[in-house]
Formats: sequence, structure tokens, C-alpha cells
Amino acid sequence: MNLRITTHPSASPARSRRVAFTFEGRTLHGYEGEPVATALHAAGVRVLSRSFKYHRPRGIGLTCGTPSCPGCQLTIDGHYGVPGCATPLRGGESVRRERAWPGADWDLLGAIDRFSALVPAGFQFRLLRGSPRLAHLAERLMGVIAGGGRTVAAEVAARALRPGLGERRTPLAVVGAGVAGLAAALAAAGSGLEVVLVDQGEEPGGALRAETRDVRGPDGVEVPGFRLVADLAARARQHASITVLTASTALGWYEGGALPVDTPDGLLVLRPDRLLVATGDYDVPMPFPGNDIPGVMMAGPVQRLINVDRVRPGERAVVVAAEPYGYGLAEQLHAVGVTLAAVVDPRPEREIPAGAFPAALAAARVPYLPGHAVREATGHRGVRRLVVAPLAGRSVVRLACDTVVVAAGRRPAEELLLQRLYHGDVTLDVTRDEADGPYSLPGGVAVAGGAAGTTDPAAALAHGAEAGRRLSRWKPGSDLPLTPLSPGAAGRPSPSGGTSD
Amino acid sequence: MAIPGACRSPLRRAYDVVIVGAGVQGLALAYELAKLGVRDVAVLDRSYPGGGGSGRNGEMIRSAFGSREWTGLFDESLRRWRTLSAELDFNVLFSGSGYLVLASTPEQVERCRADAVRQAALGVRSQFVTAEEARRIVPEVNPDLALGGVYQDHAGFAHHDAVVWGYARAAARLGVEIHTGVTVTGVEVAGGAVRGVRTDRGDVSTPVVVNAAGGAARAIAEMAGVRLPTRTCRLEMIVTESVAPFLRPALASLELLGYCHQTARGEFVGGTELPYPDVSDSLNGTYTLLADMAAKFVRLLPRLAGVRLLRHWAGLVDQADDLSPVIGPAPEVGGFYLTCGWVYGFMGAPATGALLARGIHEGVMPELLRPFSVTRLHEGRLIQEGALVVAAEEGNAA
Repeated sequence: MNLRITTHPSASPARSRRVAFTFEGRTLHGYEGEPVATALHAAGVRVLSRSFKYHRPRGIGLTCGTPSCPGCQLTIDGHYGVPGCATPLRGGESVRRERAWPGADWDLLGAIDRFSALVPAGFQFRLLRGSPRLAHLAERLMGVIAGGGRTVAAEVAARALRPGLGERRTPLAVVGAGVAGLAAALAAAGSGLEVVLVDQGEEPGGALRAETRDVRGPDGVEVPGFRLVADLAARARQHASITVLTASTALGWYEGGALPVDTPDGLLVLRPDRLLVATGDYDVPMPFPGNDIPGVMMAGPVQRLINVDRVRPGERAVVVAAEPYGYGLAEQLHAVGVTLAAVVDPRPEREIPAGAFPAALAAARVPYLPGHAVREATGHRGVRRLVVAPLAGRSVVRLACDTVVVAAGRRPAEELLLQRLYHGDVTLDVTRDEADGPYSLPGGVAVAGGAAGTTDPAAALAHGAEAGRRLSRWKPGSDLPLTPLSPGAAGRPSPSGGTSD
Repeated sequence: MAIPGACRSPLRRAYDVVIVGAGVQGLALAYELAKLGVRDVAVLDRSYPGGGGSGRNGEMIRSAFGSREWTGLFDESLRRWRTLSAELDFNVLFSGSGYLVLASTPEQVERCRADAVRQAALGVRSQFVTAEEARRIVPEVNPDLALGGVYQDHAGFAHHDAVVWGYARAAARLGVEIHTGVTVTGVEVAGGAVRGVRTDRGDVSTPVVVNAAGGAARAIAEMAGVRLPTRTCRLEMIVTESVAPFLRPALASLELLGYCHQTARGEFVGGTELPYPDVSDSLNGTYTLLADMAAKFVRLLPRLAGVRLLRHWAGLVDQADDLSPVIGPAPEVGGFYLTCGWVYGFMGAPATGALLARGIHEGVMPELLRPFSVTRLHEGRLIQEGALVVAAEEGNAA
């Protein structure tokens, strides 16, 4: 099965340099710059890892992009725990899977999962409770399995011991270089502010890098999303007042205002006068048995796979569209040659807007199952079937597939914000309407884009720019009057006691 | 999610004993009271069981201290730790992998030597170890920091959440009611004795109130008009990702004010302190301490360089000037008992729960608990315990 997309309907740039790498003794090929996990997936490797305790198989696209995703941790050139979905392929590397014996495809420790009825959650607190000696032996045995024999490679240790980059005071730090963060940085820099723009990705652009559909740009012209952010990123890089730090992670936001950033050149401790949180959002998984089997994927990672990496998630997919963007993604999957076994909408039919199902899919006779709940996914090392059932009635529908794409909603990537809220010096009105757009917190802090609950890219662009302008007008020590920013939301109750202006 | 052991029925209007705080102290006490046949015991907590220091500590357990008072209580506790899983019918993952207090200067070596001699005299099983022996026990330790120490081969650590769950379930099985999400707002005192507590879910009458409120102990004591000369300080800890086992025993460094261990599944857990107490009631981790912990632990165990952090958190201790716990009846108010001021509260809980339960049940405090009475603080008779690995002011224990 060839999952590479040869003729992509959009004009997004394709990666062209084919390189070889070693995977557990075999030579495989991929394209330079694509994530290692993508290269493995395209080469037919479905099981990328095993879960920690029950040794369940883990594949690509499960919870990519979430802070705690363990889905595709690989050992690359002896460095364990490398996130395969975020590590670009260079060529020549040696890649291995972890936490499995003798191997991830046939993992004897996976028996723990097959007998999970005997080892229910919390079994370790029940076993051997009456025999301290046996418990001690078991502990030693577990110690051998634990950590998967992980030992830090000398090169990684040396990197960790490098002297840091010290502290840097900055008038504005923008965390997240997606469409909102880029727009904010450009607007603030245009108003004369020095900006440090931080992003985890190898390239700026965020989620819109995978958007092939048109988005209305700053000048009112509609351009494909990936082109819009590429243009904004190029302008940000050229701007004398903007420092762009890519492949850099803001580790936290501490009392006293320290914002340590892990950059490729070492640890940089930013001390920003103003902060914009533009960390975007991520997919919410859907709870059903088997929702972690390789082949069950989230919408965001799938969109990146097909539009940035140009690799199909599988050959025959079921799209579970609990949110409108699931329908759009189904259309894109169809366009790149994925056979759609069905589009399932788990909402009651009366709640589904008329015309939700794209005409192109209807014309292609893609089965459409509105008002069907997901019962379970089945399969071991890869999903084989998705079982769905009408909300009313007892029948079930078994859909043969090798891929399940879940679009169940998105949530703000709000970790930095929550850390600050936990400090107690800021409060957030959790009842605020997310459609209100960006908002501010006391002390020169604003939130915009997906992190503020905005899902529309054009709105995120406008809100980011507005937040950047207002932050540049703000003076340390005063309140930031920007709650909420959305012009249409004036007069609504504002969060955290601020005022709309 | 159901909270293990938590009571689902509403709070009753009267109990024989009300314990404020469902941490390891309060739950161990409740379990032991129920075992003695005391009926109608309620444990009230504003949050979830183990949400305070009981779930935020370093999980380490030893009895090799320097004073008669501490060794007596903690040796009894260590004895109970070794059979606690069977006692509670719940594997608390106690690991008797040993506990090494590491000396890094000639002065610290001499202190450890003296401590070991005193411990032997007090009947505590421990041994002074030379630099060579220390490096054999912890081969990965930075040899520059290992000049000797005190080692207890049967001490170790346990899983703190499992301990809380184990006690909670065992107490609930014996009829104890654990009420979570209940905030105590006042303590009713009349005629010099406790009459009940006021809560945000109504008033409860009881002749016995036990203050096991951890970081909030002083506030609860004030509600009863009981003076508690303690102050609330913040401690911070980290846990790393799982790595291959390299550290068998629990390890404390006098030089670095640091303590750590590696769990059975490979995570390294530890905390350090700055040379002064961090007086604060904040639960925020600070960047200052995060950097301190990273630098010190990599110095202590060079193999940790490059290991990633999973989590970093802070917890509160409400500590007395001598860093020793405050246990027993409050002199001002009849029926008001204390088990607070804990800095080593996790390791001390099994013995204290059992002994304090007996004291409350029989009306006479057991010998091992008497030195920890709050009156010592009022009268300025501080306990001289010199084998702690805790930040302290000049002139106190270090």
C-alpha cells in the first residue's frame, strides 16, 4: 500500500529530497524534513510505540501536539523518548521503537493487556500486599522493565549541561507563532515594540500550515491558509524588531515573571513586560473502547499528514464528525484519494445543520450516518472496524476501515495560562463566551487565537493583530483595557473585571 | 471519578470524633480509632484525600535521626511501615531499599558518626558508612559529595498516594465517614471544651476535634482559640520521566539540602531547599527552586543530566521552630487534639496514628508522643534534633 499522495489538489510546497534511514535494522526511505513518525507511517509501520503500563500498541496521530502525548516516542540515534511527530527526518539516522520486548510488533509484555481482565486499573495496589518479600522481588523485576532501559545519551547530557543563554528582558513575548501570534507580533512591532516570538515548531505557522482552504488575509484577499501564514512568517523574520525563536518551547511562566524557553542553543530565561498567549488549541479525543488503537487519529494530525506531509493516513477511513470541521476534513481526505467507508455524525439528527454533508461526498456516494454514536473500535495492531449504532434503536453498523478520523472538538492549549491563573493573582471568568475572541488579564497579559477559543482563522488573525496593537499601547503598571477584544462582543460581561473600550 | 473511601451519604449532625484534614495523618488516626472500636468517626476535608502535603512529599521513610524523641517515634513508625500493606490489605508499594544520609564535608562526616553512635545507644538499627561504602551503596553518586554517611538498610520509601488510598479504604471499611469538599469554618467551644464544628455543609456536634489540617493547621487552631506557634512554609519537588534504574536507596544530602529516590518504575523523585525557610502559603512552583533542584541533583547524581522533568510542584508545611511535630491535646480547650506542625509527616504517620488514637481513646498520651506536646513550644523547650535535612534558621537544626 502506497500512502504517498502524488497529485495533491493544493499548491502547497512538497518535500522533494528522498533520504534513507535505518529502522530496527531495515533500510527505509522518507523525505527530508518530514517528521520521522510520518516517514515510518508512509513506510507501513503502524505500531510506533507501546503504552507504559498495559503495553497497548500506539500509532501516529493519536494526540499529536498535546503536551503529554506519548504516542510516537522513538529512540533515534540512541536518544530515547524523542517525539517522532515533531522530529524532522534528516537521513541516515537509526530509529528504534521503545518499551517492548522483543519488539513493538510482537510484544510479549503486551500479554498484560490481553489479560487486562485479570489486571484491572490499580492492580499493583492489590498484588502481593500480604507478602513484603515477594513485593520486593517484584519491584526489582519491574525496575528492569521500567524506564525501558533508558539511559541518557552522552550528547544529550552534554547539551543539558551547556551554559544557558542567560536572562533577557523583553517588552513583549508572544508564545505561539500561529496566525494569531504572527499577526500580534507584526502589529506590536509595527507600533514600535521589540518582540520575542516563541514557537515549538520547526517553522512558524501553527495549525494553518496544514490549511489548504482559503482564508481572508489582512488585506481582505482570500489566500490558502498555508500561504497566509508563510507570508506572515516571512514578514516576521524580516522585521528588525521581531526575534523569532523556532523549535523553542516556553517551559512555564513563573512567579516573578520568568518565562524560561528551551531553545536549540540552550535555555533562555525571558522576562517579558507584556505577554501574549497564542498557543492555539488541540483536538479532544472521543471516549469509546479502542479509541487508542493505531489508526484512530485526531483531525488536526490527519490534516497535517495529508496537507503538509502529503501522506494518506490510511486507505479506507471512517470520519467521525461531531463538529463541522470534520466534514471539511472528510472532503479533503476524499480529494486526496482516501476511500471513505462512512462519515458518522454522533449528534442527534435534529441538531445537525441542514447541508452539513458536503455535496461532493454525497455525489461520490459516501455513506453518511448522522445520529449514530460510536460504540467501539476493534483491531489489535491496527484498527479493523468501527462499530456505530443509531442513537435510537438497537441495530449496529460495523464499518470495515483501517483509519478512524475523530473530529470531536478542540480545546484551548491553555497550560501557560492556567499556570498563571493558579498563581492566584489573576482570575479568569470561565463562563465567558469563547466566541468573544481574545481577552486580557491584569498585568499586560492577553490571550488570542485558538488559545482564546477562536476557531475561525480569519478571526484569529484579526484578534491577534488587535491584541498586538493594544499590548503595544499598554504601559507597565496599568490595567490593560482589552476585554473582550472582539468588536461584535462589546457590551457583554467582561472577564476578570476589565472594561471594553 | 469516585474517590476511594469517600462517604456518599450526607454529613450527619453528630459524631464521636471529628478529624479535620483527610491527609495521611488524619486518615491513619481515623483508621486506628475505628480499630480501637471508636464509632462515629468523621474525617472532613475541604478538598480531596491527600491533596495537601500527603500527596506532595518526597515519600521517604527512615528512623535514623539524632534525638531520643525523634528516633523513638520514627522507629515505631518504620516498624509499622514494613507490614503496612498487609495491615491495610492494600499494597502501598513500600520499598525497603535502604536510606542513606550523605555527608559531604569532614564536619558532616563527624556528625554522621556521632549520630550513628547515638542511634545505636537508642536501639535504632543504622550504620555509619565510610566514603567507600557510601559509593558502593550509591554507585552513581558524585564521589566528591560522598565522604560518608548514615545508612539504614531496612528504611526506604513508599507510594504516597497509595498510602492515602490504603488508609482511606481501610478506615471506610471500619465505618469511618470521610467527607470531601467540606470546609470547616469554625470550632464550637463552650465551658473550656469542644462542642462541635461549623462547616459549609452545616454544624456538627462532637466532643472531640482533631486538628490534622497540615498547611492549614494554624487557621483551624485559631478557630478554637488554640495558639499554635508555627509558620507555613513552602517546599517544592520534581519528578522526572522513567529511566533505567540507577538509584536503589532513598538518598538525602546534608550538603545540598536535597532528598530523592527512584521509584520502581524508574521515575526520579526529589526536592531541595534553599538555606532559609520559604515562608509562604502559595502552592506555586517557583523557577528559583526548579533551577536549584535541577542543578543540585545533576551535581549529586551526574547521570541525571539530560533526563527530562515530568512534573514540578509545591506543598505546604506548617512548621514549629524546632521542626518537630506538635502532637497531643491542646491545653486551652478540652477535647481539641493536634497532630500538626509536621515536616516529616508522611513517614511519621503510621506510628502517630496508632499512638494518638490510643491516647484519645484512653485519655492518656503514650510515652512516645509526650515530648511532642504543644506546651514545649509555649515554654521554649525546643527539641534538639540535629539529623534533619531541612532548611532552618541560624542556630536551629540543619
